[in-house]
Amino acid sequence: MEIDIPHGLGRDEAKRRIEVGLPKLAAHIPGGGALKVEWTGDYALALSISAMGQTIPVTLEIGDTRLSGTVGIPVFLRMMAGQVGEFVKNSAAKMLDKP
Amino acid sequence: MQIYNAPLRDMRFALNELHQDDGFGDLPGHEEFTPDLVDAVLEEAARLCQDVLLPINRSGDEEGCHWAKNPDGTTAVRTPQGFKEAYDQFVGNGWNALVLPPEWGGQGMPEAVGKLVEEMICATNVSFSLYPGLTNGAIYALNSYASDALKAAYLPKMASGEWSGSMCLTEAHCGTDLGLLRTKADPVGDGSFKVNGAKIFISAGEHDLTSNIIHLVLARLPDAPAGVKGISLFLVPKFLPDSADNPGARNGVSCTAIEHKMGIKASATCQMLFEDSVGWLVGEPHRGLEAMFTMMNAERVGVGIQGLGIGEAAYQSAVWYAKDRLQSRSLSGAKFPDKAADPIIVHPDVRRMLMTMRAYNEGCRGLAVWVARALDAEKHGGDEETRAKAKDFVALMTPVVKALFTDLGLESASLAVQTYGGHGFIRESGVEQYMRDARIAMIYEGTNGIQALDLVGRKLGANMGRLLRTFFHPVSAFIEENKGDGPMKPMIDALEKAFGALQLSTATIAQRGLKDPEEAGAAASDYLRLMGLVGMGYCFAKATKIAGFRLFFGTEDKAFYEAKIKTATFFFERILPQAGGHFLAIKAGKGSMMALDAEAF
Repeated sequence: MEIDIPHGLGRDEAKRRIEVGLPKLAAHIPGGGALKVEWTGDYALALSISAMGQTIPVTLEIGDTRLSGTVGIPVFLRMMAGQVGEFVKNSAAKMLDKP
Repeated sequence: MQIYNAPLRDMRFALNELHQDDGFGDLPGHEEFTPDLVDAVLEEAARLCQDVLLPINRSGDEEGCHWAKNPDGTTAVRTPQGFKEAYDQFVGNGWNALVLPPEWGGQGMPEAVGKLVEEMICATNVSFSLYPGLTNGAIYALNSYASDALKAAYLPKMASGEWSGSMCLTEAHCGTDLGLLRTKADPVGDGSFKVNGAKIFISAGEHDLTSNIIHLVLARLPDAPAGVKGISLFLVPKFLPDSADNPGARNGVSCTAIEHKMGIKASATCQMLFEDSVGWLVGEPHRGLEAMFTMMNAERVGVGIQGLGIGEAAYQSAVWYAKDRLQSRSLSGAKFPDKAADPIIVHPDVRRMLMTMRAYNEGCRGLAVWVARALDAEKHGGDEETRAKAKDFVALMTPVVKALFTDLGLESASLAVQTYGGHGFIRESGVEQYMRDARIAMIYEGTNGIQALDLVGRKLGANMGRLLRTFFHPVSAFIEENKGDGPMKPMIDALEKAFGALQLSTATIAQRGLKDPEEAGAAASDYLRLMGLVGMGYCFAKATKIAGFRLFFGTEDKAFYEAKIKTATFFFERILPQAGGHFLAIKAGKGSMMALDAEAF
């Protein structure tokens, strides 16, 4: 599943806000889950959201005007793929919104 | 009062959410059965069951099947009023052929959908369910073993519902031990046989719903060896088809009596006499039991579904009464002070009964769909490995589904009667019928004791435990995957403990059973229940996990998922602990069970 969020922050500010927001996202993962973050480039990162035995891999690419990426949906969560995608998208949008 | 609204929401959950990761989905050829299409089928089935089959359930029980005079003075078996019309509507709309292969006129729907429709049919009228149920079992056996000529002559009309089927096994002196049967079949020389003998307890043996009845009869050939290895299967029609394949001359088959039964009174259970009746061999000589077991195994899962259906109907009828009946005040203070008393649903012991029934039904439904998905994967899996795994899983779980569901169905029916109190014991309440109707399901198609022996004696050790691994692996993987300190910890801990008891019991039975088969026999029923409890626990734990994710990610159906977690919690706290008791019973061995001399009884 692909996500694409437009923004007007510029690359560096968007990156800063995501760095600040990621620990807050970790606190909101259900069931005492965990968030692993790996920066795969200056403006690219791979997230691994784990909760209740499921792992959702997310890749994000920070651009000047857009944040784009992919969300992998595990088989167990396939029936709620839309909601999982929305969760990731909303979480990312919230991080970008907060100065 | 008999109340039933098909639990479509829970059915959709079991079908579309619970088992997505079981490896039995995404089957080639099933792409057209989208969730929307399946929804429409389930909704239409619910309408038919609620509007057509439920209204004739009690009246059918009161009237029962009986003898009636034909215009020509002869007598015939009549089904109760409304059954013929309901049957015509049922087959007219193709419900009998929902899962049958398209080449015989069926719709080829997945078994997973078919089993949910069966649950609705059994919930609303289990007597009625037997007529199409027996026919479908006969179709499976013929499709697998009959010659092309027999298939062509009989299957299209059986699949259309124009003709029905029966399975004729039991004789007065032999039921479980079919090796003793005496019915004979002598070759005539033209490819046909003359069948002679008497059978009892034949469901749908004679009735007025169809223009012909196709009996599958177990009999012995003249050169047959003694025992089960000398039994052959024969197709014996009530009317011999004429040159245009329509019912022609009457065959030498007759119903000599309608059995007087405790329940399922609208199902015509007959004593049948075969006198020089013309029949044809189905499959190989002396290998009739194998062919009959094809039919029987399909029927056993279906019988389990009968238990689930009745359990659901009993639950709903009890819930209605518990909300309606005013008796005493809530222990925590009046909940309806303006009324003379509170509805009995406020009382903890009534809640105990309702929650127990609810948990049984939801747990069994979860298991039923898992097994039904495997039935589909066994036939349509995309690769040999998937098909083989599904086949193993179905073989392992068939006795569990049959015995567990029917035991729990009766228990639910009994709890419904208890919820009604004295009124439950009165026929007009309608719930005592559920108890009487549910009782037979624990007996026919192999008693539940036989199911337990099948599980322990044949399935556990088969192929060095290969069948067992199809159940153990997903359960142990789920436990490993979800261990930790999350919100599911209490459930996972309880499941792990029960699963541990099952593993230890398996090892105990394997070790003792090798030295002394009576030890395996003594452990069998407890072992089957233990496996059923673990299976339901696995389904409830998965359901809780899905519900947790749904609630977190956002859902419009919050109430359903919250209720699912609450029911699961009840199961883990109040029902799954029984696993420990079954383990202790198994561990104790056969000693006290076999200690008394037969003379002391």
